Amino acid sequence: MRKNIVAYLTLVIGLLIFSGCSHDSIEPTTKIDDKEIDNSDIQKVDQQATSQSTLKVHYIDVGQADATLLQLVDQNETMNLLIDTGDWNATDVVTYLYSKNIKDIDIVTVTHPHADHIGQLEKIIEGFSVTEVWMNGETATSQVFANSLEAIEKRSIDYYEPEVGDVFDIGPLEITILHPDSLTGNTNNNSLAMRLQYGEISFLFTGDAEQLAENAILASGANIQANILHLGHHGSNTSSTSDFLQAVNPEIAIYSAGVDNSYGHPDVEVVDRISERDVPLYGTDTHGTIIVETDGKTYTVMTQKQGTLSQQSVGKSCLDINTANAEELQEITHIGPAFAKALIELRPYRTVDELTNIKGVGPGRLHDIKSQGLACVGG
Amino acid sequence: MYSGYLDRFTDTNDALILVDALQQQFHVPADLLPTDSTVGTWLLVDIEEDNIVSIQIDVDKTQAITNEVEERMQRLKSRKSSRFKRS
Repeated sequence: MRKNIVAYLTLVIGLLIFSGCSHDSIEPTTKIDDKEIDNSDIQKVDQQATSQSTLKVHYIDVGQADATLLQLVDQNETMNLLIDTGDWNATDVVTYLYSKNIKDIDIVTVTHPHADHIGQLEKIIEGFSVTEVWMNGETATSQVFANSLEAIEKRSIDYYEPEVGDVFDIGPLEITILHPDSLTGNTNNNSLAMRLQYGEISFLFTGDAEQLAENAILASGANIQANILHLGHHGSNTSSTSDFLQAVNPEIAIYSAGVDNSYGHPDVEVVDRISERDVPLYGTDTHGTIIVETDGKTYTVMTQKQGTLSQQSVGKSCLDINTANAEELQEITHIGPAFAKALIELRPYRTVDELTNIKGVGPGRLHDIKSQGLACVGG
Repeated sequence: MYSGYLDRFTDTNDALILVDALQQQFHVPADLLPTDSTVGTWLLVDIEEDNIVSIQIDVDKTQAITNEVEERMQRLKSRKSSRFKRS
């Protein structure tokens, strides 16, 4: 049951991810429960959230690489965590962090030392006040790795190698380490894997862990169930086995991959496995940056690119009255064939309230329709 | 001739070589690598028209960076700490 999805927002973000661009360039057009919200409203919502505890998880669009920002607001204090740091020959993660007016980062985790995960660590250490860096203990001899270690040492940043079973408390956010138990000769399978629990909502990150690592995690017997799964290895077929997906039992799956990447990520077999489970799939290649916001009880999914999210992609949580066909519209209470036909003729609608423009749909029926929660504008 | 780093092999068994001086990465069929190449090996590569056309191992640079990283890593490992770990 997807009770946790109370609504989902589609953000059109005019976010330019290159250096020198405006740091606050998000220009969302957002609809929540049929109400359009302009940018000033978004800011008000953010300000209100500071008096409560919220977690925003930003699956940043960094091309064929990985970087996820977690922003925890608790008791008016904001804590920032970063899982992976994007590609080595880019600055998009740094630019994104600047765009969020971030100055301090409490923990930067590098799941493994490949250049598409540790890529901008040095730049982040140089550009922000980083408290702690986590690595899996594996060394690489790349320039980006060497420079990163030098930056950690030069700035006397705390360094830690989490071990399986370690639990970390970042305010109300609990992080449990699932992998690796020991390092092997396979860097992907050495990826740090962790489960994050925030209230009733959980997230799973496995870096580039492949089947071998997934099997080890399964064999450990640890709790790996998660509402939101970050697919291992950019959606590669080396990862996300059926058994692993069964155990995680996600409500949403997200992968990070570049548009038209040469690796064929996400692999069609993985997409099929996710689809067979009727789990909505989001990817940075098609949705841009994806943000999951939660109060610990429910969560909202927001994406950068408008038009790529269908109602199907969020478990049919709402039906766009501007695009649904006549048959689909009849899933809405009080809407039969005649009303569906009239509804289509009167398109477009700016809000669900405008359904009262249909002859025969009065306040009472509108109330029932809105109570059902299926009809929406935008989708 | 450029200095390149063998960062990883892809799902399709291509070698991914990073060339810092160009800020570019190149895919090369693994069978074109010198025999003793492994992930983490520094290479000297010739590039023509955005393709690597010759590769040889840079033994000295591989050893120098390996030593530097290992020494630095040992120092970091000796002072591992986390203020967030549950005790």
